[in-house]
Amino acid sequence: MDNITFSADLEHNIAQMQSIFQGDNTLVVRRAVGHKGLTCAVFFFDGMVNNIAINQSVIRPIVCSDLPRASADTLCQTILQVNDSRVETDPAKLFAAFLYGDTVVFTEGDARPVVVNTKGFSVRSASEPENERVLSGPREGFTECFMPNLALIRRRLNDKRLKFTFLRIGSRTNTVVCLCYLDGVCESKLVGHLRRKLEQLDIDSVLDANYLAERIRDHRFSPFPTLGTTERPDVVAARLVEGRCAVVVDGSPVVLTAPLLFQECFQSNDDYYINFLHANLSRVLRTLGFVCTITFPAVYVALLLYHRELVPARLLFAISAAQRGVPLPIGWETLLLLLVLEALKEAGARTPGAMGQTMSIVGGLVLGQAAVSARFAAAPTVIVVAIAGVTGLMAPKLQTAALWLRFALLAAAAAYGLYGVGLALALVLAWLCRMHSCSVPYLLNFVPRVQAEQEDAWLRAPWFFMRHDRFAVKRNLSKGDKP
Amino acid sequence: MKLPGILLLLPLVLCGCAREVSPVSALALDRTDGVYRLTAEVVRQDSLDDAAAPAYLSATGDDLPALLQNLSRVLPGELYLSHAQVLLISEDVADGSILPLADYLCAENDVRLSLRVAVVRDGTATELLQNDDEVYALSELLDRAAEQGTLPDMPLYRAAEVLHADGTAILPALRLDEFGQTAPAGTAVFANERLRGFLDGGEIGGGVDA
Repeated sequence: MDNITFSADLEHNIAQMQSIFQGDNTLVVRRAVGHKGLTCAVFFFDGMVNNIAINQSVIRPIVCSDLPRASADTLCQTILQVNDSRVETDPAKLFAAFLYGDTVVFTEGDARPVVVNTKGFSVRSASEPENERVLSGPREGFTECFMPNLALIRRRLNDKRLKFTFLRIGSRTNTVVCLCYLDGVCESKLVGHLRRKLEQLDIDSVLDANYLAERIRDHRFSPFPTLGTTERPDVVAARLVEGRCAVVVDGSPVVLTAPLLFQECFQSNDDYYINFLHANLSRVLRTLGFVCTITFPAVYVALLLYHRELVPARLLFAISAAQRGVPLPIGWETLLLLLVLEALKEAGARTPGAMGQTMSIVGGLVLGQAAVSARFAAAPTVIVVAIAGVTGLMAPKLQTAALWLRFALLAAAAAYGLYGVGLALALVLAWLCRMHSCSVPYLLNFVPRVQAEQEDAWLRAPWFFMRHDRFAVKRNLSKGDKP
Repeated sequence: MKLPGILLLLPLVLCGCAREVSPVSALALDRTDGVYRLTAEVVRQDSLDDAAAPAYLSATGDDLPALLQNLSRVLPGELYLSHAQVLLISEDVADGSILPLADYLCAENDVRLSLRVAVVRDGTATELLQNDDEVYALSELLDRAAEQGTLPDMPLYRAAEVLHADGTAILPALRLDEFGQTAPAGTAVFANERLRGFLDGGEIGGGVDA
């Protein structure tokens, strides 16, 4: 489209536009002629525009105009009654705006088109995100609509240092991506690092934030997240205040934030909106829940296979009794039950509405009971797997990590007992220690050597103890890193 | 990704060889005509609804290793001594040197060092072991008596230690009373690793039970 040129001949321009969008029946071409002969052509896509705005602010002023002719500048400045219109000579920008719901107006005798902001496609309301609900606090969430999302952020950060930098990514989708940060609070290296990564992307489509997240994140194959994701504007605002960057992608309600620290995986939005005593207890439970979900099945298998002497006698007798008649070895039995649990979760997630919940509950209860009755599995194993499943939901940001680590630790336990579990956990810890997110150590604040701020790491300090510049990650960029 | 996946799942194959275990809660050692007889109280629980119940299996042999080996042959599962808490020995056994017995048990990986050893007076150890039909009844009795001071608190590791030091030791004694119940019966005194006699509760300054 870069080679397209328009002329002063209106009919030529109309033919040009029609040939470009030949076969697209949503294209609407409206000729508007004024009292004194002013002739214009209005182009827009049906369904993408606000019809009232076009009728009242574009068509009517042209039809009612007393001028016989008008240049694009005159049209833009004196005739069109719209708050956002401009003369656009760059075809790339022209078509990007046109395809995104703006209206293009050509006038007779001027080759330059006028772009009028008449976007009016349907959007859903900023309702609370399903997977980030809070007990108290703001209920707004991002939508698929780009500009309202930015407005939701700006509404919370009335700071002149808040910057929104636009980029276009995707050769086919030409998706608008916005890099948000607080100038002076966010380290400029971090902004440059992210901007470079985004600009260097060579992809054809960006239909969701995850298209970018998997490409720009550090440690792409790690099950631990190194980019934050949220659908809540209050969370984005909080992270921007802490010196992080946010990436808003048009068409996606998910906003990426960077860097992401390990501690954030155990934080919840509620932590900041409820009493700190309650919040800290919840946070400790979440941490324990993660440890429990990855180690519980493994430790159970290791104890029963290799370390029975560590099991209290009466418990051992009960477990041995339950195991009697079960055809599979304990390791395989646990593995299969974990797979069944994942299958139930997947089926529940993919089944629409209340039916999914019903299916999960009924499936879990019926299958569990039937498996025990049929001696397909032992009741203690079902309990262990159920506990692992329930505790796995406590830290939703680490679900992928929990899933893989659960199986890895189970294999280690089956092969080497508690020694294997210990070794595997040590390897995981070593891996976490060498991870980083946008050059910031992943375990920042958790590991004493890279300790920075402790006010909101394992626990959250009361608000009256919090410093205003907590978590300013700029001070913690590793030396020698070239972000 | 294939190789890590295979390596991840491969160890699970190795875990299928675990045998069902026959956990032993108590042991009784007798000697008749120079032949040892070892009786094991094996815990049986067939389902979660049932209570754990004892079953008694015996084997004979010339020494403890042979006894354990012969006993494992008659057990349905793997002989599992980690949860054994009491070893009863008869007076005949105690008349011989008990240091080799204590040393062997201390060296055995499965056996806990907190195993309580008791001497049975006026009867066989097997008889006393089979008198109770409740699992761990004997160990609970010995624990309680040790807490109250009516019987010496002498677990295996401590008995072995004092026997090694100068060959003397004291062990709790048990007997079947006139009602056929298991009851504390004072303290068995060892010198030169052999049983020399018994002291009742008054002599050791214990409670009224002895």
